[in-house]
Amino acid sequence: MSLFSPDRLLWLWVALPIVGFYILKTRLRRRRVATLLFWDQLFEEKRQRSLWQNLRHWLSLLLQLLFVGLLVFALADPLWKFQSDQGQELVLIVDNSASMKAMDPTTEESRLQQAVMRAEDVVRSLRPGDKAALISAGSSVRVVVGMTEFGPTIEEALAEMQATEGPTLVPQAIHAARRLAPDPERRRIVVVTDGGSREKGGSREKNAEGLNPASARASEPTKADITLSKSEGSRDDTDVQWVQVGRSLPNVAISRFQVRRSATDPIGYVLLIEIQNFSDKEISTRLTLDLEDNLIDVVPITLAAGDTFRRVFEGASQQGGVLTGRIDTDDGFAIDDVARAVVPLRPSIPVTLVSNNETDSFYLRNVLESLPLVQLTDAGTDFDPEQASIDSLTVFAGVTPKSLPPGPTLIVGASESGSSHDGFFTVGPELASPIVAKQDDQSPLLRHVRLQNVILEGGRDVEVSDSLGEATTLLETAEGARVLVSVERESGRVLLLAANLTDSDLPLRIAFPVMMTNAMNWFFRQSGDMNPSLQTGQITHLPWDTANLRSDAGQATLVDPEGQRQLVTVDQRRALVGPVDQTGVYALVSDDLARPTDSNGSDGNEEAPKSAREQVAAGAQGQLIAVNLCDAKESDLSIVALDEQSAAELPPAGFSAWLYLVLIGLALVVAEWAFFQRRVIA
Amino acid sequence: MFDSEFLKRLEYLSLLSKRVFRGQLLAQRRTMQVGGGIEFADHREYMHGDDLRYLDWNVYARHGDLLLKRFQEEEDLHVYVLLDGSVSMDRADEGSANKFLLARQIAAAISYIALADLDRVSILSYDDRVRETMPLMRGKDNILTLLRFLESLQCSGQRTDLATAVGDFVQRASRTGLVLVISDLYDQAGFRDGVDRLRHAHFEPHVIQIHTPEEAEPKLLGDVELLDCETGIAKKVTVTERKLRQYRELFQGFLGEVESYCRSRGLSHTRTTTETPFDAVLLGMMKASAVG
Repeated sequence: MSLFSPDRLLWLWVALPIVGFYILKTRLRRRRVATLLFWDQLFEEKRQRSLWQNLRHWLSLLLQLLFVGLLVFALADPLWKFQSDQGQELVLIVDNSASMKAMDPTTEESRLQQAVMRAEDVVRSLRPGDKAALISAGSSVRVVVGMTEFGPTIEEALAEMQATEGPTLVPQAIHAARRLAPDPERRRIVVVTDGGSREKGGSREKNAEGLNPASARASEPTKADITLSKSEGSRDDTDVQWVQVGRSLPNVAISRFQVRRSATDPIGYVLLIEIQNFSDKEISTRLTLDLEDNLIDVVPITLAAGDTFRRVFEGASQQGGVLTGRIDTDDGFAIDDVARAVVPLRPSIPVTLVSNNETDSFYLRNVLESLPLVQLTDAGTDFDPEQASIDSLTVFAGVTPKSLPPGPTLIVGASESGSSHDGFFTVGPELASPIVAKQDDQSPLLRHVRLQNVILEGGRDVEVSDSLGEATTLLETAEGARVLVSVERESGRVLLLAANLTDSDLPLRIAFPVMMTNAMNWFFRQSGDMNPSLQTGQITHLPWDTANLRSDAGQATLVDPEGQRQLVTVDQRRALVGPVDQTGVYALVSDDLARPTDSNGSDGNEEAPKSAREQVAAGAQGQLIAVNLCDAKESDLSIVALDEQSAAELPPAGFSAWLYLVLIGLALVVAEWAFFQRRVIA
Repeated sequence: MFDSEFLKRLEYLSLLSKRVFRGQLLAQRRTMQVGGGIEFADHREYMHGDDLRYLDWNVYARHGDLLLKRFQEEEDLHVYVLLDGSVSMDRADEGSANKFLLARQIAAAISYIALADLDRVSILSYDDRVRETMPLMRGKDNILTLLRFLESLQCSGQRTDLATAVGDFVQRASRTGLVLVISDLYDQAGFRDGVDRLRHAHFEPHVIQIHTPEEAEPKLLGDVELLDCETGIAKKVTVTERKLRQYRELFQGFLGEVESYCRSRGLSHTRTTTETPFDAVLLGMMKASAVG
């Protein structure tokens, strides 16, 4: 322990007059009495205590000198071991991840509340010249308070800190802290966490050795098995100190919840659910599944300690919607007891096939007929574009339309230029052995499709007029001929395939029906078979496919479960979503179709915000996104004790050393007075 | 010390003693010695050598029995005052009288009453032995002499020894009588030996015990050096509340011991503090005597 003002120790000279006064004081008062008869009787029995009688005076002096010593020592302002006599740069990282919401049943406090109290202790130990910053490390790393010398600012921010429902990002927060406080000599990083930042590792054998009471867990590695990461924020970092909060709690969690459309049933869907028991004892619970508030299934589940329940459920629904899974537990951590997933809508697809003969449309007809939900109508050549529905797909097989119908249009094997009065595209001469050399992998039309080196017999170069819409070349031959082109058109998307399917290899490849399936989803702006559930804290690109072709459509609006909006960036028809720090159902809606918002994304009027599902139900163009915790590290509420080396030293109750010295000194004064001055005790 | 006011109070006490006790005090108490008085007591068998003048001839004439008439002899009561003149008596609390002064006032009052009743009074001052002696005197005319003697007394000595003083006294006393011991009884060897000697020598002891209030309730606390004013012995002690409680218990035990000693031996005992005026002490003694 060092002293901040060692020069003040000179005040120890005060002890000299105390000793002097003490010597004067110990010269006893003399009192004449009539007789010593009674006093002799009184003190005769206590002769064996004469040693104490002699010592007690010295003890009194010792207490007084100790009191002076403590006061002077307090005046010299001693520093705790972890404090520096130079101004330090303290970066306080508070884990406000989902697991910090866990409630301790005995104290009725959440881990975050405990963390805030411990963090306040650290802040109160700040000294003049110290700087401090506050970083939250849940869901996303956020510098809550930058470097400041004013501790109360951080205390206020701590008081207002809320737990997120996202994962722990302590290593990233430590990285940010090091950038915030670049001087390693002065930097001190204190992480207040429940241990959720540790990486999985270790083995179950470690558990068997008794390293962890929860070692009976049988399947997945848990937080109990983990060790500190050797990378960022490991115990080897001398500038990082850890303050652990919380205690081990049992928990049962839904750790995986994903749904996709069935590959065999056009309206079927398949749900994968995984439930983990993170407690040390067997639990019995009940899994309830409902789709859009319609009960689907109730499954009783019994899980041994550390066991995992994993099952695939199959169901059928053409309309789709939000599928919710719920387990009935009373484990004090409710976030992971509910999970949601979005079952994509499966509408019927009306398709009108226009062809000259069956030969030209043989493959196309067969593949369309094989696609589920496609309602194929053969119009032959007798087709009036004026009467085409905007909700119906028109497929031209070997026929070049004089004018394009409204709605989505697929033109396969066009051999002549489009109608001159529309002038929407022109087709070049037939190429010899056109081999696909380049494809647009980013296009949803070519998802799961690889067509490089495929020979597209009868391939021609297609040039789309700007008046038709924004064209995108999807397949390009080695000679640079554009053989597959998609066009964004206000009245409906257009896909041009300038190849002869009858002579080409394409229909014989697995990629063909896949590409056609992609095309159906693309034409009708559907996300496909799967609308994956996200995890809190996850940053991801989601397909963003709307009919809005305005130039400023580089933004979309993400509506959270409470109806609060935030703008997200859209680039190449992919919206950058995340990190979101709240579980629930979000909606990604078109920016111009969403209610008017100001630049901050907040409400532009006084109406109460609509939830995401209400937004989509109200007709906003967009898609629902389910966000779950589904993070085993967060759901595992067991605590692994820190070793002494990595544990941060905190001042008791968070005050400076001088205060404790003064308090001890006062206690000594009171004791000295009670024992020696008041003299009530012999 | 003994001013005119004091003398008036003595006279008042003297009158009061005659009215209230109707001759039960001091000289009015006839001795049981049968002798040549004028008041008939009883008869006894005539024995050879008896004075024939006291033979009851009437009885002999009527019955033929030789009976000798006996008369109760009247004699003066001897009142001795043993006054503790040790240094421990020279103590006074703030606001109250000196123990020795009160003792002398009580001695003067009793002596005055005795002299007024034509009893003989002698006063002896003692510490570890008899220091001053006022010989037996009789008659109210001697009261001033007695008061002057009392005024001239000083506290002295290194210790208190009632037994030795009583030994001296018994040898000197010509006749037995009432002995008033006025003392604080802080006798290093104990007061019992002295009183017992008086009893064994057929004196009738009466103990008047005086102490100051502070001797019963000392106002000491903390580290003090106690100095015995008689012996000069010093004692370093730390007086605490608990010690004070123990001291009070000891002192009350001592007072109780004196009282039970006197009661068990049929001795009269009076205890007073220096806060009580001498006349109140005397009145208390008179009342106690009347009740007894």
